[in-house]
Amino acid sequence: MGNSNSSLYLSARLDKLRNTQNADGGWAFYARKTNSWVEPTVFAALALHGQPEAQRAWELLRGWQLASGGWRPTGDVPGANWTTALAVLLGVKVAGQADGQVAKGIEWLRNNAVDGAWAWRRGSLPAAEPTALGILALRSAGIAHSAKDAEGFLLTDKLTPETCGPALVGLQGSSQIRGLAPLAVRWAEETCSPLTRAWIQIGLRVNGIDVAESLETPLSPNLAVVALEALAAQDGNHGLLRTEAA
Amino acid sequence: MNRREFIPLAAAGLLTGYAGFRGGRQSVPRREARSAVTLRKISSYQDDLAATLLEGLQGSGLNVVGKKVLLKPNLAGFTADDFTNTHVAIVAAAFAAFQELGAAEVLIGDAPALHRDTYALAEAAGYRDRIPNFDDVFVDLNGDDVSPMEGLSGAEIYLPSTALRADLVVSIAKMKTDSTFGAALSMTNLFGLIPGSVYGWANEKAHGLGTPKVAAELTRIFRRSFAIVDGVWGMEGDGPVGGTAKSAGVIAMGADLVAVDATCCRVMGMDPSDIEYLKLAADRQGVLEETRIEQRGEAIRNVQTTFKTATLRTA
Repeated sequence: MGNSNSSLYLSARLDKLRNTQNADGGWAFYARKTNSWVEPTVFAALALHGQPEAQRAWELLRGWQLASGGWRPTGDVPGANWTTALAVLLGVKVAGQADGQVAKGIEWLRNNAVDGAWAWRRGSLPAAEPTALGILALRSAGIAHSAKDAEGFLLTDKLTPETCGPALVGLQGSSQIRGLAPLAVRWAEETCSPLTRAWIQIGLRVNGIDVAESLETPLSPNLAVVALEALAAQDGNHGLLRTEAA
Repeated sequence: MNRREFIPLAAAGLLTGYAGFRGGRQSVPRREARSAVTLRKISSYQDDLAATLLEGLQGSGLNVVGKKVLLKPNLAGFTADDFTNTHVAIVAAAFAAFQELGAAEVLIGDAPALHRDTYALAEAAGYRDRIPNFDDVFVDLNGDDVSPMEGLSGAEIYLPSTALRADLVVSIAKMKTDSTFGAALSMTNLFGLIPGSVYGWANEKAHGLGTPKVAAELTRIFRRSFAIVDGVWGMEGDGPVGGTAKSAGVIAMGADLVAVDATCCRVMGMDPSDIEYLKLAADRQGVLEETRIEQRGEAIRNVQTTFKTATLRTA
């Protein structure tokens, strides 16, 4: 268990999330906005996993799945995009991979991979973050996804502080993770982005690499960042993102 | 279908949505029109920028009394340098000037294409320190509520509600050469109104939707707009983030984004008719020809300085 400062850090974030859940069960990116979105909703629900708020969030997302199996990113936008991977991830954790809707989402992910990678949306080029999340979602469901292509894609000289965290999560167990860790730690220390720091911390933790906490970080107005920081905390639910290597 | 085949399909769907939009700003026949562009010499960000902008805005005949104004800066990198982001001094001065002019609401918002943490970008650029009540007036347009723009074919484009609701969108761009477009000015700054929450970030916004046609369409959709280009310090070479500092010592202003950008190109030693998005927008969204632009303030020749061009990236 962490120390009291660590506990305060985590509880402040979980309280913020509990207090900002929308009536529909989802979360907006910002408390003063009204529309719930898949991305902050999934991160918040994972941070609050096992609590009623997470179940309500999943019930909302159930209603946002399209006939194709993909997920709309928010209730009013009709096309599926990369956040389908996040919806599948939450579905696996709350309902299990045998759930019919989760299974359809997994099929959508398989059908929309191009050379083992994913794009932000159909019609665009593959990108690091959607690819990392796609791998994470499939592996969470116990589905092997060859990391061979994705490794080359994610661990190139184009790796940036912002893509490093998702890459560490997506490529858990890769032989290259240990070599990447010192750079990741440095980026986490140097970045001025709480979002980047939280992702790298999660990425290191799920690979079994200890990482210093940033307990002085003030609460971000961005609820997705708040949720990721809660997941990244020493006693946070980052273990939900741990998968078996391919 | 391979990766290259995906892109035109996506762009076509987006443009179909724009083409049918009927809820936008009034259409003005432009072929015979003339436009005014104001150039002001500014030697440093410590100058009295609020007075300069106020004078330029008043001279343009802009009436914002009781209106909702959205200031849209260019947040491109985690840095407080003078040449990557729209300088905080310009944004703070514009914020004060529009308040002085009687706007009912002045907000600042951006949906950066290259980085996801918009607040951290704004903080790194000094916005949080220098702009009063920043958290109350800043909107991360990548996480905003969105609204659809209906198209005749049923295709839709989703844009931030804050931008669509504004009576006036002020594109406060940085004067840059650009690896994709040749020049990045007030029109391309409107790419920062495309929400990443729907369309994604990085390569998607920069190279997927980032086409000259989309720049022209965004200028049409946000017709009720005004341009302020920060050329006190600009970027030459491989912009929008890989170039180097270049001082032009000038601010350009005007209600016609095409005319303002064309004038900026001339200031930078470039021919605006070489810039694809300006050619597409000419005579539709604004005026390109120098003879039809009423130059106010400084003459172009007095502020002209040649920017090193960018190495253009091939699609």
